[in-house]
Amino acid sequence: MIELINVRKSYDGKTFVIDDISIQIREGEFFVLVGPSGCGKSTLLRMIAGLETITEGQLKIAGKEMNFAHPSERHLSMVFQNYALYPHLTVEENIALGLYGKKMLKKEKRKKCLEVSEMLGLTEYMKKKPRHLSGGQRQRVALARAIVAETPICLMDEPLSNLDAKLRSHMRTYIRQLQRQLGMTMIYVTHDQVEAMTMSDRMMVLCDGRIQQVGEPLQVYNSPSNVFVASFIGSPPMNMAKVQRLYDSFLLQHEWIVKIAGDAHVPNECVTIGVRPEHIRLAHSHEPHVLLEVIHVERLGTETLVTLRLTEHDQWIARWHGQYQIEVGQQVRIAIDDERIIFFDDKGRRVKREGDSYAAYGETSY
Amino acid sequence: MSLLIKKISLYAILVICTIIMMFPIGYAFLISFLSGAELLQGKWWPTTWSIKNYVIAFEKVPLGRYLWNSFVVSFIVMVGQLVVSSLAAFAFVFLRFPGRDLLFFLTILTMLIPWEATVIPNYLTVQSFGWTNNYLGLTIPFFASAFGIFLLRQHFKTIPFELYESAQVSGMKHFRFFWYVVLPLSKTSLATLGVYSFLTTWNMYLWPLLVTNDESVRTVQIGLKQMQTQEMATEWGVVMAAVMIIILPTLILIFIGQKQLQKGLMQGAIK
Repeated sequence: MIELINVRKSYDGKTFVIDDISIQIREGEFFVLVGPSGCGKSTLLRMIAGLETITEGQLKIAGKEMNFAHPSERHLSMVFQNYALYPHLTVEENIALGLYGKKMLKKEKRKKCLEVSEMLGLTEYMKKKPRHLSGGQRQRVALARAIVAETPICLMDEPLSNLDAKLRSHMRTYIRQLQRQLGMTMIYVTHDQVEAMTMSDRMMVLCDGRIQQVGEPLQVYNSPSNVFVASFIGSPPMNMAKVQRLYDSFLLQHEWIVKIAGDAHVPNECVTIGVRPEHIRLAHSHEPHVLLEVIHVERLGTETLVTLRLTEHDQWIARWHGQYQIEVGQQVRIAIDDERIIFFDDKGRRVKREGDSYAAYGETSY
Repeated sequence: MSLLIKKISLYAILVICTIIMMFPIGYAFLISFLSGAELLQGKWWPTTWSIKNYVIAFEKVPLGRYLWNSFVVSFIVMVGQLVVSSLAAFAFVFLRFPGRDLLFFLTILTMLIPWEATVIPNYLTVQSFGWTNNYLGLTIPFFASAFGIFLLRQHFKTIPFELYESAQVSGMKHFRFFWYVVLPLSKTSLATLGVYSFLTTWNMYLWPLLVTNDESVRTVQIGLKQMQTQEMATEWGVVMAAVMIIILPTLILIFIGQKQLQKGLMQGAIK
C-alpha cells in the first residue's frame, strides 16, 4: 500500500506545484493520475519514485516512511514516457538491467528474462538493438524491463503517448491484463481521460497540483465533483451553461425552463448547469421542448455528434446513437430529462442532490 | 549548364585553396630530398631521390628518442584529458549539487585566459613540485581542459536524462552508469577529444622548451628547433626531412580520425 499524507512540493518555496495531497493507494490496484499537462501529475509520480524530493508531508510505502529513501530502496519499477531504453544494449541486456543489483545467479536472471520476453512476445528480438524496433516493440521492452524484477509497485509515466491511436488502444487492454495477471500495484500517469476511464480501478483527477476528485471511473463520470472534472472527463465534454434562478426552476437564456427534479435540493446560489452529450435528446411529439439550430454534424457511423447553437457564444454538443439525416442550419426540437441535469454552485462545485451516494469536493472519502 | 559552371568554379576554388594550403608541406617534402649543394643552387626538384637527409637527421639529434618522448607525452595527456574531462562533464550533467552551473561557468571562463599568460605561475608550481625535466611536468598540467569538459558536457547532455533516472530506480551506482551507459554512448565525442588533445600536445613547443633540460624527456618540436641552430649554416634538407617525419603521425591521425573529428566538433557546436 502506498500512502501520501498532506504531500506538497515547491521549487521556489512560495508556490506549490503539488498542494496538500492525501491518498491511499491499495495493494494490487490500478490507480490512474489524470489531469491536463502541467497539473503536477508527473511530478507526483516522480516524488513517489524518489526522483523528486518531497517538500512537505509524508510518503509511506508498505507502512514505512520513504520520504528520503533512494529510488532503488523503494522496491518499485518505472516505465518512462520515452521508454528510456539503453540504445547501445540489446533487448536482452535492456531487460536484464531490470534485474540489476538483485542477488541472483546469472542463469536465473537469463531464465527470468526469457520468461518475461515470452510473455510479451519479444523472444525473436532479443539480440536486436532498440533502434531496430518499432514503437510498439520498444514499448514492450520497456514493460518487460519493468516487470522482470517483479517489484510490488510499478509506476508508469504516460507510456502510451508516443504510440499511434490503434496501437494505443491495443496496449491499453494489454497493460491492464498484464497488471491483473501479475497482481502488481500500478500507478499510471496520463493526460488522456480515455485511458483513465478504461484502465483504472480508481482515478485521481488533478488540476494545478490539487486533487479535484478521487473515485472509480463511472463514479467520476456520473458525479463529477466540480466543473473542472465535468469538463475534463468525457469526450465530448459535458455541456455547461450559466442559468438564472426563477422560483423552483432555472431559466436558461430567458426561454428554456429547467425544472429541478423532484428529489433535488438545490440552493439558491446555483449558477451553472451541466448535461452530458448523450442526455440531450430529440423531443417527442407532445413534449415541452426548445428549438435549437444545428451548426455542425459529425457522423461516426455508430453515433452522431450534433453541435447546437445555444446562445451567441455557447454551443452544446449532443451525442445520439445511430445515424441521423440532419443538415447544418436545420432547427431541431430538443429536450432534456430533468434528472439528468447536474448543478454547480458559484465556486464550480457540484451541488449535492439528496440520495447522492458520492460527495462533492472536500467531502470525498479516500 | 549553369549548374555545371557552378560546379567547375567551386572545384576550381577548392583546388586553388588546396594548392595554397599544401604548398609548404609539398615544398618541404621536396627539399627533404635535396642535397645541400642542390638547395644552394636554388633547385627545387631533386635530381636523385636519396634518403640521405633522413639518415643524417636521425644521426644529428636523437630523433628516435624525441619521437618516443613526444609519443609518450601526447599519449599520457590524451588519456589524462579523457579521464578528467569525462568525469567532470559527468558531474556537470548528471549530478545535482548547489553551485553546479556557476562552477561550470567558471570552468568555461578559463578558456578566455590565453595559456601563455599562465605559463610563469605554472612553471613555478611545477618547479616547486620538482617536476621539471620529467614526464610529470610535461603532462599533468594539461589534464584538466575546459574545452574537453565543455565538448563532453555538450554530448552528455544529449543523453536522455530518463536513462539516468531509470538507472537510479534500478539501483545502478554513479560510476557504473558512467562506465556502462555514458561512455559507450559518447564514443564519437571521446574520439574527437582524444585526437584533438593528442595533436595539440604533439605540436606543443613553449612548455616543453621551458621544462625540459636534456634529451631524456625532450620532445620532437624542441629537437627540430635544435637542428636549426646547432651550426652556423642550417642544413635545410635535413631539417625538412625531420619535419616530414614529425608531421607523419599528425597526418595519419587526421586521415584516420577525420570523419570522427568533424562529426564530434559539429555536435559540440550545434547541440
